Amino acid sequence: MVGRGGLGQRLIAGGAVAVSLGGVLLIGLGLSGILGGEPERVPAAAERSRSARAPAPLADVPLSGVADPMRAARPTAVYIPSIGVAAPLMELGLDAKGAIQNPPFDPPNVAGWYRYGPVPGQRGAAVITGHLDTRTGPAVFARLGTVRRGDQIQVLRADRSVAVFVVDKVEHTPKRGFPAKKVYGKLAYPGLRLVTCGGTFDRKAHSYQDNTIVYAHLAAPYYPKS
Amino acid sequence: MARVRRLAAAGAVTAFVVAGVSLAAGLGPASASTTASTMAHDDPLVPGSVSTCLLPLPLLCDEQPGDSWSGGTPAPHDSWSNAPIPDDSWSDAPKPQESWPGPEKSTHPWRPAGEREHKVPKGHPETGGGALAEHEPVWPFAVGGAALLAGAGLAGVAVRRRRDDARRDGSVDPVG
Repeated sequence: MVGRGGLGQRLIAGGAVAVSLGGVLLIGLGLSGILGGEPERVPAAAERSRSARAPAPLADVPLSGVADPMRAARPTAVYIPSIGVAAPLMELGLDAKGAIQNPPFDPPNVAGWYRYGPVPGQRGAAVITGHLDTRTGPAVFARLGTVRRGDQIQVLRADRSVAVFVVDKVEHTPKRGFPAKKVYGKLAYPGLRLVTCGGTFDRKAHSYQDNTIVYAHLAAPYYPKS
Repeated sequence: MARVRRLAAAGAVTAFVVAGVSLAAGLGPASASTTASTMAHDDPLVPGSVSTCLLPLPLLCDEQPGDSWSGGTPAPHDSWSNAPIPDDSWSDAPKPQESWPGPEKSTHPWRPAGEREHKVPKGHPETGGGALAEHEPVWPFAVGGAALLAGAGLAGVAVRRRRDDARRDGSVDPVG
């Protein structure tokens, strides 16, 4: 026969055990990374102010038609109005291991175009890469994953011409299976590929596990009045 | 025997309290790194992080003091939607590469790589530093620590009631 006092003690002791186990469980889940929400990937303030700085999309640019190739000229800047990107371009070559060089982390608002491929506007697949983020904050292609089909990408070139591309698709692919042929392979029309990182960040390898790739085609060339 | 039991209970409570306090104390600095304010630097080179126009390309800027735009060309506040109209001339626009960090100056004239020079790079671009990566969530540790503290408190209450009951029943040695 258990008295009221004994029952109360057992209830309290049981509650203590249950609450403690719950605490241990929560800590364990936290350690294993199961619990926790998606972080704010891009500052809200940046989202609000982006329209003030981004160039507007050009009007009357056909979404589906592919324009004829442009003559070669050194690309100097890239603009993506839909995500507020306006960045200078630098040339990227190959490193000692034969991999594509990366733009510097500092300054973060710089993208690079791959020098051993077609120039943006020429026939073939031109490639522009940019950092998703640095070690301390967002970088030039922080929002590249939010680009949508039909968005414009404008590449300003040294002859003051502008190659206007329209996005065909956005792909997220594991780095282990990076589609080099699709990105760098030959094309019969002027195309553009924008590449940055994405997916989960592997802290041990200090690398994101995926790549975000934007495929686009030349929709309209603009030349300055001479 | 009763003293041993009391010592064990006190040790358990102390361990719970220390664990809970230390876990809860970890909340402050860890959560700070996930706030938007940390990520929203006022770095002029991060796109969209500030409201002022910092790129020197006049086509994009709302205000460009000292700009050399002249009549007949798009005004500095014009957007790109006007600029590339075939009748417009971009000839007066300062060259962006003069003030942007561009390619290294070379004595050789620039030329595109010929088709024979085209190469497919090995591997994949490495274009991330990790600042936007998911941070370890903090709230499970805070809530778990608080739960451990609550469990310690409840355990203390249970032990105390048991001791009081035992004393009332006379089963505890008053000398202890």
